[in-house]
Amino acid sequence: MTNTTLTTAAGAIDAVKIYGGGDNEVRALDGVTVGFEQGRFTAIMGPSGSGKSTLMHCLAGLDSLTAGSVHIGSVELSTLKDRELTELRRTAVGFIFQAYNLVPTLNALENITLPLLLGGSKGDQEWIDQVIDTVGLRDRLKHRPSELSGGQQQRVAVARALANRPTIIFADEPTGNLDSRTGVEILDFMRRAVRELGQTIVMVTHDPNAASYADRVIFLADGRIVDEMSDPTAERVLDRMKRFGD
Amino acid sequence: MFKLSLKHVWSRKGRLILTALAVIAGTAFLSGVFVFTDTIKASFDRIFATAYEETDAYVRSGNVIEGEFGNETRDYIDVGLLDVVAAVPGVEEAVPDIFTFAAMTFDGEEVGEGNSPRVGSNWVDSDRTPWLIDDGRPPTNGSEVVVDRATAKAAGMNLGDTVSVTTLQGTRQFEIVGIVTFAGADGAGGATFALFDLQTSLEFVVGDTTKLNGILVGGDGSLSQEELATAIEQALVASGADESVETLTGKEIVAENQNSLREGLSFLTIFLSIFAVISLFVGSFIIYNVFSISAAQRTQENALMRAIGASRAQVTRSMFIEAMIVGIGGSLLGCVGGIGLASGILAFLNAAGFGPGDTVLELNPTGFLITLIVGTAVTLVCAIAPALRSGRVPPLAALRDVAIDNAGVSRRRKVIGTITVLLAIAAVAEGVADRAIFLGLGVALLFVSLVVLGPLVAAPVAKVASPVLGKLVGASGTMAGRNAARSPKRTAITAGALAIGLSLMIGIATLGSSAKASIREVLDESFVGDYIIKPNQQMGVLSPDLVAEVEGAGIGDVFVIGIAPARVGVEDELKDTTVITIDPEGATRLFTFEFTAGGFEQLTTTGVLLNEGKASSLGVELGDKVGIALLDGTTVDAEVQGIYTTDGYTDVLIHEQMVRDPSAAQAFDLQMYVKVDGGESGSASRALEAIVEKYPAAEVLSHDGYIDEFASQIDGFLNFIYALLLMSIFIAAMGIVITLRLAVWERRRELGLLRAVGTTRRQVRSAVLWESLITGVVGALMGVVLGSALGWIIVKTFEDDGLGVYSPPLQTIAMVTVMSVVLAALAAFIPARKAAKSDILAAIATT
Repeated sequence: MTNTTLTTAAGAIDAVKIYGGGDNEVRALDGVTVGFEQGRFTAIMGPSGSGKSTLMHCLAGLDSLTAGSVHIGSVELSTLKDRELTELRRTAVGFIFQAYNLVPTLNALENITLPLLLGGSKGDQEWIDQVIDTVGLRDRLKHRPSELSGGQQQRVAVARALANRPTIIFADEPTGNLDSRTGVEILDFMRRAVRELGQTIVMVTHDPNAASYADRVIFLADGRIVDEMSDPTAERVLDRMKRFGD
Repeated sequence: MFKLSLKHVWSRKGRLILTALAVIAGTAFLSGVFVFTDTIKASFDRIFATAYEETDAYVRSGNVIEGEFGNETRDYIDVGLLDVVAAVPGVEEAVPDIFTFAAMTFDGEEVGEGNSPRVGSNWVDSDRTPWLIDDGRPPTNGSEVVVDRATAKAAGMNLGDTVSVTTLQGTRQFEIVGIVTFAGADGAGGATFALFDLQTSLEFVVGDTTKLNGILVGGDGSLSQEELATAIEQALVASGADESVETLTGKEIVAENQNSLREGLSFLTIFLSIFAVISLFVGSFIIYNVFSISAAQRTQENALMRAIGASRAQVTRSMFIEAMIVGIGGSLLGCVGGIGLASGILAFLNAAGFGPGDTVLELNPTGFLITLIVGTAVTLVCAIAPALRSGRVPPLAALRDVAIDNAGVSRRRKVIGTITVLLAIAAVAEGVADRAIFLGLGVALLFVSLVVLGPLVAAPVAKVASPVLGKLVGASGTMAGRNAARSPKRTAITAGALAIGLSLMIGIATLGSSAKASIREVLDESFVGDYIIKPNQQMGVLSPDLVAEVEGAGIGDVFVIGIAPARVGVEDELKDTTVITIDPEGATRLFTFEFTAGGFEQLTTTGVLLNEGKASSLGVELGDKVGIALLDGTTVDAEVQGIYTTDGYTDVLIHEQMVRDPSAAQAFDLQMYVKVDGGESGSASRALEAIVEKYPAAEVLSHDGYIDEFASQIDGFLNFIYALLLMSIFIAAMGIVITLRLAVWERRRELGLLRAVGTTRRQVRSAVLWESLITGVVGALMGVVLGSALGWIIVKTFEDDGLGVYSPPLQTIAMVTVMSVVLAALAAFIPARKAAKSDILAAIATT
């Protein structure tokens, strides 16, 4: 296991999440300790119900743990009130969801700069320009989401996640709704964001191909980390995944 | 399909309740009006039936004049007829009946509420009258009186107290020796009753010991009511009684009383129903909106239904069935709400002393049936467009999450809207020149253009609001503007519901302020004096003693005008009206009417002065003859001696000495005008006050005070209408709550996303609040424009009926605008809280 040192962007220690009670009790997370280093692209994999989404939600401050702790940067999340958590999500976290990523009433540029608008700041214009160019949306900025293709919408979402230079970006099946070619495009952008722009990304996926774009893959099963892999390839990830079936 | 609809209605309980709420609020008022008026009708029917239970026939004069203000004045009959009637075989008892103006003052205060009748009558120890002694004893001499229990209670009168009574003959003091009930009820519908012994009521109330209002007849049971009435009629003819004397059976007099009350009530029913319809109209906007939203939210589901084989008609029908269920259910609950509303109003009226007393609510099935049919029909009509739209959803509809509806700003809408407005203007322009049909059409078209043009107002307002609010309040302001612009149609309809109530308030307020400005102009133009002495009551009587005292005091130049019921016309076609009697010399000194021909100086006891409009409708000019008949038997072929253009008085002025017998003519002094040397002054005011103080039923007012008093009367009336319009404003506010609540539900994923990427709860709340405020502003804008138009139309329509001055009430318009915005903010409270509580995880969960 990786040590949670100052170089980690986010991490969890002994994270436990229990849903329900009594006979219906479900241990979605059963003592997970993990750290995500700065400037790296990590994929979280596992079969359905393994707790990968729950882990991400708890790491991102969208859900709370039953026991244990999570931190983003040097901030311990369990001590934060809703207001402070919201501000943390706005300033230190970026999100890319599978669908419903964009606010339909706002145009592409407004969606990209939404976290900045919400905070009432102009942000770093140079950085934003760089992000927009990286995802190649310069000529689509005034378009509403309904006027963009699925792939373009996800690129806007990637740009939004990058806009305020967050400590860490969480992506939840970001290519789940896209065809494979567009999916590859998005994954490529995400990798470039890590390599070229120095961002930190944690991606939940069940697609071995998507996972192969990461620097490191963590495997979850029954709420525990069961394995991890550096510099994965699609074949190796698929092989590992097949063993869950046994 | 029906089963499916049922299931659907049930599975969306929240939305069902919201839809039904709009229907309930719309129908409760209507049902309440029915329950209220039915109950009043039934209870007074009972009272009249009991009151005349022992009366088998009634004798009175058939000579009756209906005054200009709907008040009936009936001639007296000869007191000698009592003996004639009593002698008819089959008559057991003939009881004199007197009811003529007599106002009481007690403890220095006028007795009675507002303009309710003040009646003086005679006490008779007989079962034939409705009066029963409740406490004390009957009056036995000229210094004793008994009063009805409702009046005694309200004024705090007790046996042994002294009360001052004013009649056309003057003012006298009486001791209260008894309290009576009217057929078991406290009083008779708000009127005050003072009952004297027969001699006193003849002398002091009627003012002529030979005259009665009527005779109550009790039979000995040997004849039927009809036979008895016929026998009396024959005896009256044989006795040589005046031809105009008529005999009614007991049943007829009960029916007549019941009918005249019913007539009064039907006016009230119509008046209240108008406001109920307005409420329902406003409610229909909300119902339509809810169905539209509901249809939009079900797009995916309907597409699925189509995909698995449901036909277009089936989808549409399923929406209709849902509307039917909501319509019937909502209307039924509205009926229940109406019962509550009616009992609340009755309790309030009873507490205020106007009510029929403790009564059982009259639950008439007809009223409920009408409410049910109207409520369901309105709901179904509102569901037509949304249902058809649902049916048109293609089976393979893109499974979009939230549609942005840009419908509502189409070119077609602009064209149709412009045409509607132009048509409305044309119809109104045609209509104000005295053509009611065009006027009604024009006003209706104005409301239609509100619906058509609404989105065209809402869209730009929301678009402007977005950057402005973005600058002012940040991201939540931007989003509020965008959300309001999301479906301009929806925003416009919500705002339109608000605009209707507001526009009517502004229209009515314009009527009020113009009436005030007009009366000021009339008074300034027509009266050069300083003070006016008048009865507190609108149709009240000035005590002759007061008039005499002021005339004798020598405070200034005094001039009295009187009023009399009369028939006026040409060539024997005399029509009932009310005339003003003047002393031409006084009028010349104190009145400055504008005459196009003749003048006050020319008026003689055989002449008449006419308003220009009246003269032209009669087709007469200066020097022509006009027939005038009064109740005292005076008939004059009067010469037109002047034609005036001044409005605000009656159309016919006659010389006060044309009336030979004021008490027989039932003429009385209406107002006194006083001009003081050097104008209004403290000492003159004090001197007049000192006299008028002794007559609490009258008041002395300065020139400005008179206008203020008139204004306060108008305000009282306006407040009553505002209260009725409040219901529609309330429904509109509820519409904002419902629409926003549904919008929040519709946008739950988006709200979750916003929360996930760092929108604070406060920002979410603020966005909903600002969206509501934008709706409020749109509503206010439309309301102010439409209301100003309505106000102008009303004033122009009644330009020749005393509304000469158009005076828009800027203060009220400003207040109403602020109110609508505040209301919108309050309405946003619940949806905003709900939005702030959006569940992030549920919203972003991938499905």
